[in-house]
Amino acid sequence: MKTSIQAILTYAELLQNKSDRNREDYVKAILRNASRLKMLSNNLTDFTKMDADTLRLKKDRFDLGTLILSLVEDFRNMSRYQESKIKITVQSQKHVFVNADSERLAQVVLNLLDNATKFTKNGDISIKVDKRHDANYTLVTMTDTGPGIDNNVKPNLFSKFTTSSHSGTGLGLYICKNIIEAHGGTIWAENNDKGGATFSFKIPINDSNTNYTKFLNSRIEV
Amino acid sequence: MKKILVVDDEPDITSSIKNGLQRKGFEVDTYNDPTDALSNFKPDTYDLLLIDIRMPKMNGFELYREVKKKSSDVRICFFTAFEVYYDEFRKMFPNLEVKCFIRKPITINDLVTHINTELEKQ
Repeated sequence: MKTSIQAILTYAELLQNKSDRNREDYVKAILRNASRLKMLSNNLTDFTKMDADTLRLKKDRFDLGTLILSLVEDFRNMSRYQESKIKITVQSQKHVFVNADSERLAQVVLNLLDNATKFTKNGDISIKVDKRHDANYTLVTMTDTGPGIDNNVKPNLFSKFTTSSHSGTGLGLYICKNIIEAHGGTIWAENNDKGGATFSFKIPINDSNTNYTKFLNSRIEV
Repeated sequence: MKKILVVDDEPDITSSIKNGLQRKGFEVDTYNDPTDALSNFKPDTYDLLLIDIRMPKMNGFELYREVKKKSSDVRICFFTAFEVYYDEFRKMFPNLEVKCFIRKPITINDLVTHINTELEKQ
């Protein structure tokens, strides 16, 4: 967090010089770091809620593929992505409806994206969204071509305060795990054979048997 | 003109600090990868090194130790968000003398004050 505060502070100081030609770049850098700081502070707030076991989900029915596409679009505009050489691709089946808390799942995806871009300086991040009706769950995978997960960190990857970067709080993946488990799902990570890491989570397609849900599902599959 | 080397793995930090220090009349080189900083380091080039502590590949302490082998009288300030590392440093390198630890976040003016104080010591 202090790294982002340092960047905002210095860029804001530089902005005070009105004749500087790079002022537009400074504004972008401030926005980029402020957005990162926002995510980190949300993580801290949620962390206290999770420890007190007071995190409540506001579930709604929405298309997870569309949500992820729009998040990636925002991410391309707002994050460190702009100055990196990372290519992000999203593959999603059509109409991957889930009954879930869209804000919370967005938080999971943004945390995973932030992680992946932090460690993948140059390369690809590919996200896949699949519905598995046979198994009644939706699977999201995010594969990067970064250095992979450090063996020292791996056993406690989803535990609180685990971090291998100096700019993180070590809470992002812990919060992701809590959110996914609150949805009745699971989250895990593994290193790829050819380098890089893959983070995956799955959540049940139906966690309630309401008629409304059944109706929507049958309509989607036509 | 005093010449400073800044090593920090966050490009936003090196880029903004470089701009800020240049405005205050310093000449500044930066590296985001400490191993690049080490391989390109030449003795008697810099008046002061400003080094982040927690970096991938090689932490700031290790970089300092290696740089010291190339130039024994190099002057350094660690630039870190984590004051806890001061104790770690003492344990790891009891024989290395470093008195300058600058805490992030800091304004450019305060950073310049720290840098000037360190430069005046010599």
